[in-house]
Amino acid sequence: MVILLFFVLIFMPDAAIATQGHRGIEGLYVHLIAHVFFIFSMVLFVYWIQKGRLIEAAGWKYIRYSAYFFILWNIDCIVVHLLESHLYKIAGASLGILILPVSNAAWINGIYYFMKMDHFFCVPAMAFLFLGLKRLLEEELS
Amino acid sequence: MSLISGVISAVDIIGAILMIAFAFMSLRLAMRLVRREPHNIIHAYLMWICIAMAVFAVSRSAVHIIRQSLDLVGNAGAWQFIGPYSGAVNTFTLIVVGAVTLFFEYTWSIYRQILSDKQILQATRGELMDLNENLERRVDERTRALADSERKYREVFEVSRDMILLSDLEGRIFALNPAGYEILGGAADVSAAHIEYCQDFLFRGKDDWKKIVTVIRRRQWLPDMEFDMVNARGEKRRILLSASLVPGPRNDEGRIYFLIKDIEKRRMIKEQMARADKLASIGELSAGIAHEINNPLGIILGYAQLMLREESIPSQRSEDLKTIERHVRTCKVIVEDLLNFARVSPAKKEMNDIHGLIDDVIKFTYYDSGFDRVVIEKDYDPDVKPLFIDEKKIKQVFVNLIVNAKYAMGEKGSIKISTCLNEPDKRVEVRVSDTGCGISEQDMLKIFDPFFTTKPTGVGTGLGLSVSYGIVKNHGGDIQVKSEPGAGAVFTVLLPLEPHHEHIIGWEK
Repeated sequence: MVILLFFVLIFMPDAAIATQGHRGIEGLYVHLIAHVFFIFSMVLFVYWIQKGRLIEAAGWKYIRYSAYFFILWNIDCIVVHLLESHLYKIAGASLGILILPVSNAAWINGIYYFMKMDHFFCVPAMAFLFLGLKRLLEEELS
Repeated sequence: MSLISGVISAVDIIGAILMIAFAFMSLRLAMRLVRREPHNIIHAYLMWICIAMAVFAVSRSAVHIIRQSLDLVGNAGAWQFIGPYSGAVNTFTLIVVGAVTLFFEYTWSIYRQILSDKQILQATRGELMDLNENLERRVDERTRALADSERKYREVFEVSRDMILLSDLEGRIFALNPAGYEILGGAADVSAAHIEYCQDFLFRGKDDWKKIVTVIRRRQWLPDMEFDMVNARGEKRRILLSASLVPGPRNDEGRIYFLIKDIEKRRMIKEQMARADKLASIGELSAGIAHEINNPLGIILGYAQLMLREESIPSQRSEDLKTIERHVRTCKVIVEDLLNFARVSPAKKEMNDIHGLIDDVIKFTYYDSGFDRVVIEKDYDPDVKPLFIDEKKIKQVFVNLIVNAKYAMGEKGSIKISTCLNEPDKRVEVRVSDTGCGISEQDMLKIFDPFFTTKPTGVGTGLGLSVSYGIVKNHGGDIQVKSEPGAGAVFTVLLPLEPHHEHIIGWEK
């Protein structure tokens, strides 16, 4: 009976949906989720640093600053990606996922233009990481 | 390209380069931290973070540089091909960095646990070190205390004048102090006599040891009791013994501690005092009797001589009177001896050379028959000076001693006469020793008694030694005797160096 049911189900002609196809803007969603995940991990990182009283050491204080800047950088990136989507949609592109209640406002372009320069967040984040490690090494050496 | 666009591109490229530079500089620092402390898990974690960050920086910033470069060379279309890959790698590195970061709490908790364990280990190590040092100090203190205690008890053991002996229940001797060896006759003699058990010198009778051990086991101790022991030289000695039973080292067998005091001298002194008491009583009695008899004997002798003088011709009467006179004279001699013994008759003392006096006695006795096969040896101490003595009476003492020695030896033997100055006791010792039959223990107690003799009836009166004793005592001296049956006898006459103020009547006890 079970075997009969198995063959009936296998050979009944209909749309095959078992393996999901990936088309469209899935990549953007994954990327945004990755940023959110990065933020989540950095927030936890800061929380653990504070909980473990590591900030009493100068090195860990800098590393915490680094985490803050990475959070900001991720937020920046998410905003940029969403604005990109909005602007694409306005431009008639098909990848838009967010439509703001404004249309082609000049201030959106200004924000987008400013936030595209994410180096103002990620470079300081990496610099603070470097400084933190430098202080940790100095403390070790001393 | 406009100026603004150029500035933006430059900022983009510089930012990307800085990003990569800081990422790899951070990685380098993290690796130095790891090299410095390879077992620090936090350093290892930071290194992994830096590796992820470096990959992330490269994936993000290198792509920026490539894109700007493509724009510069006018090949922007190529970016359409590279862009998706760049985005995918960038997304992947974001996830990796985030994922690695999430391990921080776990890593940190492991690090804290390691630190905690390390601290506990260090604290424990410190405690162990402290304990070890204290233990050594305590052991040192205990060892010193034990050594002090051991030395103290060792001194008691070594210095004690009484024998301290430790044996098992079978009598095997474990320990014997120096006084014990001395009482037993010296270490050499003890070794030569193979004294290994208590029964070798004490409780030698059959089952004596079993009986004494039974008593000790029952009572756990033995009070002061007198026993006789025989030392390694075969000499019999009187001892006062006490014993205690203690558990053995493994609590499975008992050990007996004996405390043995040599009371031989005390016994001898007691015997001498008892003998002196007895002789004093006899002396007082003898003096009284002699006084009472001496006068009637004098009267009888006087009348007998008067009656004999009237007899001009020999007759039965004259013979009877002579017999009376002879026996009365014998009685007078005995009475005189008794008076000498009782020291009633005063001594006529003057300075006399004791060696010359002894030589005279030897000459006098040597001419007597029976001394032909007797050897007389002399060993005089030249330090002995003349003594304040009654020559006649002291001669009588030595005559008695030499005649007695000759009698004890029979026809053949050796008599040795030696003198010795005993400076500490301020007296001269004259020893007369012989190789005769010796004196039995039973007779030893009675030899100075008046009328005690081992000679056949008629051969001796039994007054020789008692008279000698009285004479020597009258000079403030003493007579000692040592003898064993079959081993000869040694009579030692002790005479004081300084003049002695005699007591004419009465005895010293």
